Amino acid sequence: MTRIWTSIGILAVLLGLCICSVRAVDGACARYDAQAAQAEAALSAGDTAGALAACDGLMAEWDRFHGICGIFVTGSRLTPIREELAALRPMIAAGMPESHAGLARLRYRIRCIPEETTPLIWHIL
Amino acid sequence: MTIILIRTLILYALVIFAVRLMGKRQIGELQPSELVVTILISNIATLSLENTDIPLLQGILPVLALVCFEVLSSWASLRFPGFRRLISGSPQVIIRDGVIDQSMLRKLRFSPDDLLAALRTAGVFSVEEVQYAVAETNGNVSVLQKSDASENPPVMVIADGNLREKALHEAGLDRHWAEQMLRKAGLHIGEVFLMTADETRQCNIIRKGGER
Repeated sequence: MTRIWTSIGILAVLLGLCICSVRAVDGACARYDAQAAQAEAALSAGDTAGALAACDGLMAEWDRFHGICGIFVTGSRLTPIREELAALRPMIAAGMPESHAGLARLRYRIRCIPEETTPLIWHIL
Repeated sequence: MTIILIRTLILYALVIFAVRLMGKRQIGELQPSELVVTILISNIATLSLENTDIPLLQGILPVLALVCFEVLSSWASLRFPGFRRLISGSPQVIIRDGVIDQSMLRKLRFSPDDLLAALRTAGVFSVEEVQYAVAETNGNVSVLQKSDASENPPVMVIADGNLREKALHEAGLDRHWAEQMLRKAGLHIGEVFLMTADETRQCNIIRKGGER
């Protein structure tokens, strides 16, 4: 019976971990996306300094964001965000119009991450 | 490199733990579900070892989940005979008194070559020498030769408190006879760990807890 109870215990822990992963990844992505939205809003308002500050904030938050999401999500989903972020700062500083599209792409990539942890039927299939 | 080494160490410990959790059944002959779990575990562990892009947790979680499902399914197989038949199938007699049950062979997709090879492995070179040959759930064929001690091999009629009407019927017995024998022994079905009987109505009863 020890094995049965151990198995039930492990399954309960795994189930808890699954629920935690959904909450943790959703929360981390929502926070990171909100910061990216700030940068987008500042850029749209023509506030380059504000957009750069928001971008620096995103860079500073990267380790924490990556630390949470990296436990549950494959690296191939996270690496493009890092690359996008690194390319974005010089573009904003140079006042390039592509920075708008870059920020939109960054936000899209962030919003796609929870797909890997949220158990919706089309994600499962 | 260091990361791969550490991941290998963790997964090695995990797979050892998984095999220990599955128990000693795993080391001997594999049942169909155990074979599936063993193949899946080795594949999942390899993927997580090779590809550092995959989080370690995505390797650990399915291995643990599979082993837990396997342990729970073994427990359910022990408790519920119907579930056991569904997961592992049931042993089938393929030769009775030197006569091959051809329809059963076709059902099991055994070719005559497979059958003869299995008989030769058991040290029998002629079908006529066989009293009983049974295809076991793990794919082995058990053979009882005609010259062996008993011409009527005993069948298991009660296992862990569950009466097997089909086995009783195969031995030419019925539930009434089994209950009568148990009454003589001062037991009821739920108290019996194992009861075997043969066509000559010889029976052997082992009560739960090990007393004969």
